[in-house]
Amino acid sequence: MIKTTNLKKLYRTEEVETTALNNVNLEIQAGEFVAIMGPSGCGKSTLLNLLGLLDNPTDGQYRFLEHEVSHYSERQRANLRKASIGFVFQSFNLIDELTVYENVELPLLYLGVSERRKRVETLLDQMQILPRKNHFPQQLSGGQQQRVAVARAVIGQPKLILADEPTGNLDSANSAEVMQLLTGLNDTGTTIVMVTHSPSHAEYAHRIVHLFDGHIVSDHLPEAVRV
Amino acid sequence: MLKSYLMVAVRTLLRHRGYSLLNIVGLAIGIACCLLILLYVQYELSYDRFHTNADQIYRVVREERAPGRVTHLAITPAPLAPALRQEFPEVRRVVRLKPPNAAWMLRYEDKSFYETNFYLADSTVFDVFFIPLLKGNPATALQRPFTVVLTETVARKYFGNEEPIGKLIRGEESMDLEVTGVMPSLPPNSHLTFEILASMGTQEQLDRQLNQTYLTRWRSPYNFYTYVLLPPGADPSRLEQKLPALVEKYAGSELHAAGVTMRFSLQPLTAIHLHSHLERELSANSEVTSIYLFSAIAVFILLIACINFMNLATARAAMRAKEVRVRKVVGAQRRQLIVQFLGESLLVSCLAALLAVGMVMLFLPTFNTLAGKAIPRHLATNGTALGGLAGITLVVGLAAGAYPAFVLSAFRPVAVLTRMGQAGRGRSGFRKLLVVVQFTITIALLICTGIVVQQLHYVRNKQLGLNPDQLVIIPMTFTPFAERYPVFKREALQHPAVLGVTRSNFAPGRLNTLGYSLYQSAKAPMTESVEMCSVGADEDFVTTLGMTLVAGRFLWRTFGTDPEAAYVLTESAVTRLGWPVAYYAMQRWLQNFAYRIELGPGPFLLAALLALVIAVLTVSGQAMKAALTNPVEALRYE
Repeated sequence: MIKTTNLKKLYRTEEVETTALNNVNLEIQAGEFVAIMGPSGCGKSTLLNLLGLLDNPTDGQYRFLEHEVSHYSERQRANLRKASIGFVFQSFNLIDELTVYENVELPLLYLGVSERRKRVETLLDQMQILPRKNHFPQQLSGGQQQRVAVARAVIGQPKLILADEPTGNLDSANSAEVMQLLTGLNDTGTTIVMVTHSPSHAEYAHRIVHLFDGHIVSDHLPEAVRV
Repeated sequence: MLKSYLMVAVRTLLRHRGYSLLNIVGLAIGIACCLLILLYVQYELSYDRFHTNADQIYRVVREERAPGRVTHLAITPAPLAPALRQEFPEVRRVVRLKPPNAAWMLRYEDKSFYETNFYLADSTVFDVFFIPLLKGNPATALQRPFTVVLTETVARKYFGNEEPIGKLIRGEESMDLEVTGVMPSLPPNSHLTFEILASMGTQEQLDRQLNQTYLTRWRSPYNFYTYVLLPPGADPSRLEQKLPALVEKYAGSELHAAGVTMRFSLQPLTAIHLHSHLERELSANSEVTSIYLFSAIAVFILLIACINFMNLATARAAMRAKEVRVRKVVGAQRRQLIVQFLGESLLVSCLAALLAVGMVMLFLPTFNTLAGKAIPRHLATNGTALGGLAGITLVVGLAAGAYPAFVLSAFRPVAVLTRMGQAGRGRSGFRKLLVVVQFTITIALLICTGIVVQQLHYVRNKQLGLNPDQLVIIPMTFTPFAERYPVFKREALQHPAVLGVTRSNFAPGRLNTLGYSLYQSAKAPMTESVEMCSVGADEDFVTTLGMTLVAGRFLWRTFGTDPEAAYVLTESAVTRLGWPVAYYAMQRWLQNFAYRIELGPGPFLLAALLALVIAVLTVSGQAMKAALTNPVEALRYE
């Protein structure tokens, strides 16, 4: 599903040039659950942005779903992204002016889906937040907000879910709940790439990729599987 | 999708109520000013256009040259119209109008009124002008002598609900005028203001009876206004070229003898109100430059409102940044975001437009009083105004919304994952420019307003040199009063409430049609005359009107030649005659006669001060806000 070859990303400002990613070669098969770990500033989020078609690489190739996308325009990336990728963020990133229902419905609007109500309500029911569908994000707890965010990420039935520290702002109980949700999604065939600082949450994955200074330094199975 | 946009727009407006209110009210004031000016400009441009043949009607005007002077006059000699009719078949219709020299008193049974809008007119008046008679036959109504056509209002004033046609109204000189028609009142946006039209035949009869030659002389002191109706598409300059020959043929000898030349030209009816500034205009006209000026002001005010809107919207961009990025992440195209934000600003401008309409409705009567206009209040039937409003709303919504829309929609989705809040950097240069432009226009308008306020205050409070407040003016041309004035004066003075009685042939401040040629000295050549208006008055004129004399004495009843030939001059007359004005004190006092204020630094300083106060308040407000913020909030935001 994902294959990067010598992927490189430079950030330039007027004074300095920073290499965020350098010659990253990564292949992820459909149905995998991959955790990306590493210290702050090692390029985890940059990699996720590139994989999620939010940004273009400075150099190298990126094949996603049999498309060579490294030179795609913003419009082409947006079209491919909305049809195939769902995002979950550490800070939830729900739109404050929209209700739970409307936040989850949003991707369907941009996808041009006309039958939305049943689909959204079914999913909210599965996530056990249907009674809160008319609430606004600021009326919900962090765990509830992240569940809404996960619902928004999967409503379009994407093949890939990118999660950037999805448990970073949550307590342990809510974190476990979110990890259960992601695992459940992976069980139904959705590919998941998750950036995390937490070794225990990385254990939920099939593979753990370690980044350091923009390089992949290790790519191995989780402890539990190895032992 | 639209519903979602609308929902977000409404909720965003409601959530930031203060901001929304500021934005909407600010825009509304801008749009209201624009709309008022639009209505004013539309009204000014609409003068005399209600006539169905307005484009084919021309007024004949005259340039008169006598030795040493050239005058441009709106009035024409009475015999011009018959000559035009005689000589030029291409002139479809000619009509003369003659306003009264003084108010006429008309009487019906026990009701009598002074009528100032009493015009004499040729019977062709209804062929040239679009005045559909409510009663009577327009073709014959003014054919016979001693016939009149009244407006509905005037008819009701004299006859109440009685049938006016066939009634006799007693006019000056004991003549009975038969009512032969009733016409609607002329709209206020007309340079013609007549309410009563009497047949020109009436003047012919009077001339005949009194052995006068007003209608046959080319050099007559009376005011005849001549209008011609040309065929559709006719070129007025072709007719103009033939006019000198006509003058030569009909009036050559009379004019040569007087050393006078007359040149006539044609003025489009629709150009009179804004472009004609001749002597003896029928009513006060406007300047076309004021139309341009007001239009420019409208554009500037709208520009300020738009800049305000843009600044408020972009300054708030950081708040919307998250939404923009989230929308992009879940699949929004930039185009869709632009549409969304333009839609939001259109919503704001529509709300502002609604509010603006309310403001216009509220302030239009005051505006009418201030501008001396009668702009109708019903906007709903005013297609131009509605179209203009829609246009303004659309332009403001799109123009003011475009910049924020493009700025906001350009936020890259990637920042949402990494660095929040880099919004607006690099764009602050443009915003600074906007603020500078806004302040510049504001200060300029403040200065203009200051000057206008000073001038209006000056006009209202200017010492006129006479006291008109307790003055009752009784027109008495041709009335029995005129002959028995001494008796009237004696009797009136008996009354405890009457402090003084005087008479003059023109009331000060009213239209004065009697011109006199004065000369600096008895030896001055004929060519060095100075044209002035004169008022014939009796010996109590100065005291009754509360005037004061700078030098000399006023007329005395029993002093030498005073009753026959003595003059009192105003200071401006003295200046115009070029006589040395001896006293410094008088010189200084003379300054009062420049009927305008001197431009002092006052308005400029005031405007600068106001702008400074606004700037200081804004900056200190922001500083206070920053200083009082809990630092934890800022950290949390980062």
